[in-house]
Amino acid sequence: MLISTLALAIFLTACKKDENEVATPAIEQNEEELITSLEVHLYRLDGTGDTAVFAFRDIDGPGGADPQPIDTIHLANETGYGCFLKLWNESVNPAEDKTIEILNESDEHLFCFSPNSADLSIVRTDSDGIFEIGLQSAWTTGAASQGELAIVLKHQPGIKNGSCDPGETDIEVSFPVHIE
Amino acid sequence: MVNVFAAAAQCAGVVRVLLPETIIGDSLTLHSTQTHMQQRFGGESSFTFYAICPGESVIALWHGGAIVSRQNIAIHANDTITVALPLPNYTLQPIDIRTGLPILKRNAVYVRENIALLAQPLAIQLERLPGMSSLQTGSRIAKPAYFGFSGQRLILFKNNLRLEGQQWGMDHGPEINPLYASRMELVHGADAIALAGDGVGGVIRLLPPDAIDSLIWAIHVRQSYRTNGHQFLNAIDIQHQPQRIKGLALRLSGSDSRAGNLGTPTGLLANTAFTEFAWDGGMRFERGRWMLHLEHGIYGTTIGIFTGSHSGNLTDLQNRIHNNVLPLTSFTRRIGRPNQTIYHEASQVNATYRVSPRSFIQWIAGRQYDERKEYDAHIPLNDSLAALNKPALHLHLTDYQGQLSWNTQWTDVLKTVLSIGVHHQINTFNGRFYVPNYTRHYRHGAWQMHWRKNKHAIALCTRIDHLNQVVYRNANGSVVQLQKQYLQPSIGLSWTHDPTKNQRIQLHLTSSNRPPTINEMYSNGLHHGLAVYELGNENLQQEFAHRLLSEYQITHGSLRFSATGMLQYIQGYIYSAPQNTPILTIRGAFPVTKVNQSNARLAGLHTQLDYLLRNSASISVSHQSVRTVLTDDGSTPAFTPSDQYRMIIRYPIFTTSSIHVFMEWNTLYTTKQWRVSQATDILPPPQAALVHGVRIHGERRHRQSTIEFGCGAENLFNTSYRLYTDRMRYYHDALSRNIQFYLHIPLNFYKK
Repeated sequence: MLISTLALAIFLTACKKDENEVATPAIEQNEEELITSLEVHLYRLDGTGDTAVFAFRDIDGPGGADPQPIDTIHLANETGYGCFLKLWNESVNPAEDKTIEILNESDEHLFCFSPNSADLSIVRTDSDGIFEIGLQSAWTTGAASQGELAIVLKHQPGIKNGSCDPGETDIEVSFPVHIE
Repeated sequence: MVNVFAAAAQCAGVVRVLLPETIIGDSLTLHSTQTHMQQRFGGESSFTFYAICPGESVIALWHGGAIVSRQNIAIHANDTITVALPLPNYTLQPIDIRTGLPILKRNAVYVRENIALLAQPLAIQLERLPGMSSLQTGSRIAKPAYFGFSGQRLILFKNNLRLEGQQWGMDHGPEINPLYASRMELVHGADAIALAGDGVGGVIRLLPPDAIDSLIWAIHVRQSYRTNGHQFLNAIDIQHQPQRIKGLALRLSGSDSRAGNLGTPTGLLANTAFTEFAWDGGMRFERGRWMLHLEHGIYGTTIGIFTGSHSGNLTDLQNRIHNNVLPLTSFTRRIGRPNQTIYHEASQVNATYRVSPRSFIQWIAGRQYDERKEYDAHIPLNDSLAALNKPALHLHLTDYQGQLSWNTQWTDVLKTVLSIGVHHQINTFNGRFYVPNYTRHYRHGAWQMHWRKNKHAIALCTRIDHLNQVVYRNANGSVVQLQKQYLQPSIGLSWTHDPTKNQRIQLHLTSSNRPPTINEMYSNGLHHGLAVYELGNENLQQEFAHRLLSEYQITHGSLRFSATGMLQYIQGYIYSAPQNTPILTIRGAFPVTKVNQSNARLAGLHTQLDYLLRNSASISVSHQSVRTVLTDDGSTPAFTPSDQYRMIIRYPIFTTSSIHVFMEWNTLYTTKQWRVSQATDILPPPQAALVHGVRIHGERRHRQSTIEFGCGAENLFNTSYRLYTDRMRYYHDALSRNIQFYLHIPLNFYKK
């Protein structure tokens, strides 16, 4: 009888429970930590003109509403530019600046720039102490042309070697580029 | 044929006879002083005789004109006893071929026969049944599939409790420990409808061992070691029936299994280690007209997900596929990110009150809790968030089930069951959106009839289910409730006919409805493993399925032929289809799949030929194929299993009166899946594969126990191959050669 009483006691008390309330659902998130926007800030290295900002924005993250139309990057030919990138989570108010978090984990991240058809060369100018990061870069335009520029953020925890091959893609945006 | 010879008055005893596993065939006849007779059809593994008179009795199993097993029993007035007939001698000694091969029970897997597979997931263990295959999403994640039906179309029961974790979609296996069961049955026709009105693909039922009255203690120790991943499994099963408390039976079983990184012929797979544990306890108490059965079990596993399968976007996925480079790794038992942790808990009560010798009322209640945590490869960029180590996906599913039924044996040939039941389900989530919060409330009523006479048995079940579903979602800061209701009438008819002693025909006709699952309606997000954006469809209607399933067996001397065929038509078959326009995200472009509906035709065939040689060696060849067509556009849905051809040769090596050792050679040929519609997959189906296995199995009988031991090798020649129904085929080959050693030690202590 002792055994059966003990078994019954275990049976009745050993249950694990769901502490959530079904009628108060969690805020739905597409990702645990969302990056909705990539801004490309460009300024002329000769000090003339203002800083221009070109962006990709998908405010509610993947799915849902379509992203805003991607800005076309307009550049002057035969000109040098300085560039810095900004990342945002604009699904919350106020918007969160995610750039600093990339910088804090700069030894795991690398921005890769791949111009296609546009006469453009890009050199990363910042470093995590060993390898480049790509949040800052120097751009040099050539002859007038049109094409695309793919900006890819690779996540390379423990495997960063300075190349764009290893790791997973955190961000991949192709901007139209007009060199005039 | 089973005979019980009894005498004397006050004939209110009940004798439940557990029959030797796999043996069916001859009708059973009960002879008593009242010349009471009953017959058995359908391949049940137990049979109950009511209104037995007190006294000494003998139960004997007849086969091929001779007694192959017998058991003495003593029954007192109003006793209810359970006895197990010992296995026929020919499990240890060559069968006298003059008696021929018996008709086999073809819809059940027995743990006893399954000892070599005990370290495998449930779905792999079930693959030996006709029509069964598995859908795999990793080395340790496998769903059982019956002629291509899986998930919510193939319902799993743990004894009387319906398992519900499959609501969460494709990428996880059933949350259950296969070692819980002594028998796993595939249920069709009327019996399947009685269990689940929405099981359009069938029902699988896992049943615990029956308590045997003559045993005080039964202890089973099972151990296994597999070289691939250095996997260890230790399991123990203890059954006890205290002599001082008549009618009480207790059971406690547990298992622990763990492995490190698994290997393919080309290298080790990073982060594929796993751990798994399970405990089950049960208590059964019978006194007078009452029987009470309690069960409680927990199951937990942590499974590493192959690092190379977790990709950022389509470019990453294509790089992985085309570069075909495995992430380098060395052997470790450490489980890193990504991984999934699963916890399952199930409790159930079964109370029976016998109103009369021929009628009883049964009350079943159960609770189930499932928790699933998925940890992504990435940790959050924010350090404080990362320090919390929260899963990216955290799901909770709680179920409460109850059923009341009235079982009546009206005459020797007619039995009915009337039942009503309720089922309440609650799902919540934290973290990334995958499946919304929801409640589902089911009610059902069913009427079932079994009739059997001479060479015919008919079962009929009509059932109606009502589902009330409420989904809770956040929309612009407020909670929105989306309610849907489904009415699901269903009917099943089964006919079993034994035209001769050597033939059996079974037909199962069913019509049933399946409402769409929550993930089919509301999933909306990126699938990292496939780099696909998955979209549900809120406008789905329930599937309406009509099925004809037939089985035929014939034996002739040392030959046995069996065939299982299935034809099914489904109105509104729910499937996932690729969309033409990719979705643009900040992570790049992703292909999109959306859940759609179409009418569908499905057909399946399994044939098998067994031949018993004179020296007790045997050869068995079988074939299995599935054909599916979406009739709206003539295409084939993805993940339809390829055709398979299997050959098993068994040869006795050493046989004495107490020791039996045999060798078994197993060859499986899986064809290429040619029937794949354009643009339904990110990679063409793999080539055909021929894989061999071998094992040596021994049995040593000691008193009334049989010790089992053996070793074997899967993928004996270390063949590199991939299977179409394994989603990991995008990234790596199937597992390499795996050598296994196993041991089963039973310790039985009988009443004096």
